[in-house]
Amino acid sequence: MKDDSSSFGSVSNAISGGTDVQGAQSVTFNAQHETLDITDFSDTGMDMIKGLENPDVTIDSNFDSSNSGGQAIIIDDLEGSLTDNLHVAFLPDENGSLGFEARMTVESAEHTGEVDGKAEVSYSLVPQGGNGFSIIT
Amino acid sequence: MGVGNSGFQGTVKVDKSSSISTRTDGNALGGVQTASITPTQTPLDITSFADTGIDNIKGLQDTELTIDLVEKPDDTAQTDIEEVFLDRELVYVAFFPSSTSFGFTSQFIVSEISNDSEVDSPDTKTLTLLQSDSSGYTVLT
Repeated sequence: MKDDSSSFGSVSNAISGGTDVQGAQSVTFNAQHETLDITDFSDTGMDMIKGLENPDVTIDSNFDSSNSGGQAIIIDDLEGSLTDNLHVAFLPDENGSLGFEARMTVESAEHTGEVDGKAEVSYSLVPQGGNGFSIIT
Repeated sequence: MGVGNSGFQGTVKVDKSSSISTRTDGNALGGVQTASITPTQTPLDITSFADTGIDNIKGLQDTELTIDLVEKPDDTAQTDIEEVFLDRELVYVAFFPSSTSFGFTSQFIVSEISNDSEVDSPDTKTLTLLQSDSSGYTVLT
């Protein structure tokens, strides 16, 4: 997770230039295109083409009360106090070198606590900037 | 990382007359068993012809607060919530997810109080509060 347009961060394994989201338990980076149906009368099967890239990210996490790290960056964006762009990198492989990256903004942060449980938070992020996502190799 | 591991250590604070700006403000709501707050920035789609992907900007801030609690008739904050609901007034509420000073606060209307009574259980309520503050919500640190 990074508040800098020139770099990107991590939501899993450490990567240079980013800040880990501490406490993350489940991360979904949905790298998807819109699909446009161009099937016409001459076709005998469905014909789809790629449209705009529309990634979305969901992070389910233990609440990090340290007010630092990746969750603090997300909250800054939610609050509107983040001065730079928020970039998210999702690096699911064990070496932290392969994955996806996109410029995002926080849509919501659902904080939940139960009397016999722990404080948890679920972040939902939507794309910003109009550049879609990148594949990190 | 400051994750509470011995149960939920958060707090819901209520104040009928003054905004809540710190963890020590307001009355702690008693009997809370589950609390959930969802601060939201409704994204606005500004994607244009030059873009190769969807482009959103931040929209209005909105907050919904849901609280499940055990009824405690002598609890000041529970009484305040019921009074503002009946009088159609507004109430300041702050939600602190853990034992630290980090939290969210705004002014709310009490949209719904759902009461549940069973013969072999304590009376419980589910409160639903909706943001009523043109300034949005405030993050407390």
